[in-house]
Amino acid sequence: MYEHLETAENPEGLRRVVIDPVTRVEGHGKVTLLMDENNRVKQARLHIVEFRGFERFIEGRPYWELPVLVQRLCGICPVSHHLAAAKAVDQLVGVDTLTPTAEKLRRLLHFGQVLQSHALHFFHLSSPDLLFGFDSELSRRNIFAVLEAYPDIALHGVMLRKYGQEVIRTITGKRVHGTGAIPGGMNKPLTLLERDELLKELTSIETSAQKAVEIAREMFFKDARHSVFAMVESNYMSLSRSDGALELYHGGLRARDSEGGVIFDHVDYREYYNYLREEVRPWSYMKFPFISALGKDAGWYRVGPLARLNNCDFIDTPLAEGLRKEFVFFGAGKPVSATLAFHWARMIELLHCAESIRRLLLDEDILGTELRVLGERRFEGVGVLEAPRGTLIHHYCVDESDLVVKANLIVSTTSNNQAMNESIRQVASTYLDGHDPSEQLLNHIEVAIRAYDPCLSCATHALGKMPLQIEAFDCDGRSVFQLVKSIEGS
Amino acid sequence: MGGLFFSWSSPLKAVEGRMGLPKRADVLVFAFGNMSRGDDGLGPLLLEQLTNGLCNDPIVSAGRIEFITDFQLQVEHILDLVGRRLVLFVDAHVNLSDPVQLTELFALSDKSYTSHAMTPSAVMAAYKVLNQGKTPPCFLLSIQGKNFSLGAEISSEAQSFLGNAVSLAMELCKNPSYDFWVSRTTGFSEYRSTPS
Repeated sequence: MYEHLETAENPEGLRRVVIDPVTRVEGHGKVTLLMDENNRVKQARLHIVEFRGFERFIEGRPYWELPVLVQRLCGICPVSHHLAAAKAVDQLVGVDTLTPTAEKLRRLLHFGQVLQSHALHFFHLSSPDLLFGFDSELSRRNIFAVLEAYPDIALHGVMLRKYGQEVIRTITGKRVHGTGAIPGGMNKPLTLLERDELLKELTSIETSAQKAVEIAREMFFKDARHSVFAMVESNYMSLSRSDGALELYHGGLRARDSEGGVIFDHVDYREYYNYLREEVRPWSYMKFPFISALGKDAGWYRVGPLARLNNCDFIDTPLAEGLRKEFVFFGAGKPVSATLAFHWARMIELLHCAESIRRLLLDEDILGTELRVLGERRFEGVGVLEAPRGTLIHHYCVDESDLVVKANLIVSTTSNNQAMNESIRQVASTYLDGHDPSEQLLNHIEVAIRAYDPCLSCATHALGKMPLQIEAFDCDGRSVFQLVKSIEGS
Repeated sequence: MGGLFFSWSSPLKAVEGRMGLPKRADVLVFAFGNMSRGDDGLGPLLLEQLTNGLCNDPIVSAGRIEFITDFQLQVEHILDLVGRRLVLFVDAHVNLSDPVQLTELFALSDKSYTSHAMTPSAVMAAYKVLNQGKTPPCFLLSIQGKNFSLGAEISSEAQSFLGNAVSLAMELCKNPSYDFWVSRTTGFSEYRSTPS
């Protein structure tokens, strides 16, 4: 692997190339490279400063505020935080099983969320790189250029995202930061009229979702380099259903190694801390989680669509299952390790979401009115689900006064920290080593990051105007040159 | 990759067909803004009052008008323009010489598509790309806002402007013809470029 590029042996005298920010969402990401006088890459690091202090910020708040409060963590997948917190809060009010209607409404909400987020990530943020090329003209790397050059593709993305947002709006009242889940259930039923409105467009959405998988697969195979781009061998972790099916809302934790061997399975996620540990490194604000049984050097893992498809035994919706088998075939008996295959897996999941939405809308429980149950108060709750970009863990402890005394959140970006670092090192080593770091070459690093994480992509996509500043210093620390890409893209 | 993609002469026409949309309302009133940010909520507030004011009007009962509100405009909103004959965007405006202004809009490919909040003209431009260069006639009703602070109430000045804006919007909705709307324009939009 590329661990040797984590820390240069003799950093003194090496020139520092910085991509800062990699992300425009809250400006939390940057990449630093150390290169010698021959442009040989000696060190590559991804730094992400994310959500720092949020756990402390919610301490002292009453537990029933949590599902709403934590939505403010994110503008892309607020529903995921909302539902993960709600699952934890269910336990605080003594509820382990929701009413069928409440559980199905939450699942419907979650499928809408994953659908819209996956569409945004693939079509709006990543497709320009894949359609026009990683080193294409900067002005083309945006959704508007895709609209002009590939209107049909762009329209699939726009339709899919809008539909997912519509599912969210129907259940929570708003496309972003609405409210739906409450302790022990949901706050309003789905009406027949609302159900029928959502069903109206679903056939075309399913068609678009099938096309989306075709497009993602085609983009993946159109260039032989894609199967090895930013590729790393890793472990994989995700939820899975008790029968091994792909599961996005509720299940047990499963981890596999790079050969497909099971590390642990059917783990009650409320005991996640017995299976995962986090390492702190002096150069990063973000922790490095690892599977404790494997240790910190071998135990890092990937989460998200790639992990979920590698981990599950099947998908319980027919169209997505058929396409999953094709995906598995590509792995030739091992988990698929190609980082760009994240997009392919993501679109298979998107199709699964569309199919699952239909199944739920046609389920008579979805129109029920029994929405809430309550039990005996507890003082600790752990909510885990599969957010669009990976396993999301919310863990809360409350006191006798109902106030939060401890909160621990492990978001998927954190779980993918080591993997993203490995991927950018692979890219730096393959594409930048020995070359002057041009904007086009640096975009290769961003392409690798985008494959993992829409939070970063949301920024780096910037629909074509991500600001970058690259500055090189000589051995005496004097600035040798600067390469600046302004917010206008010039 | 050619085999993958549809050969639509107009993707939006195909969308209309594929989405199986019932006949859509001719007129769309789309107000945007954030009620939690003081006068930024003028658009949604107008929509609320307009909806109440027109609830018994034949134009509403006949399904000829649709009201939509959202925080910001994004590329997804091009789909809301499909099948319309007239579109009225409503927004609060920080730099406005008059309390209320009605302008005709034209498609303009500005840089707002790179952000979370597109301009109405940029939404039109995106629509135009997908619809053989055509957009429905779109107008912008701007209401002067004074205070956009987070958590602020609507300012008293903006509140007084809102009444005028609602009256004008009501008049437009009751007279849904392009010529009438043009006759009521009071200025030029900053988003104006060239007519499509």
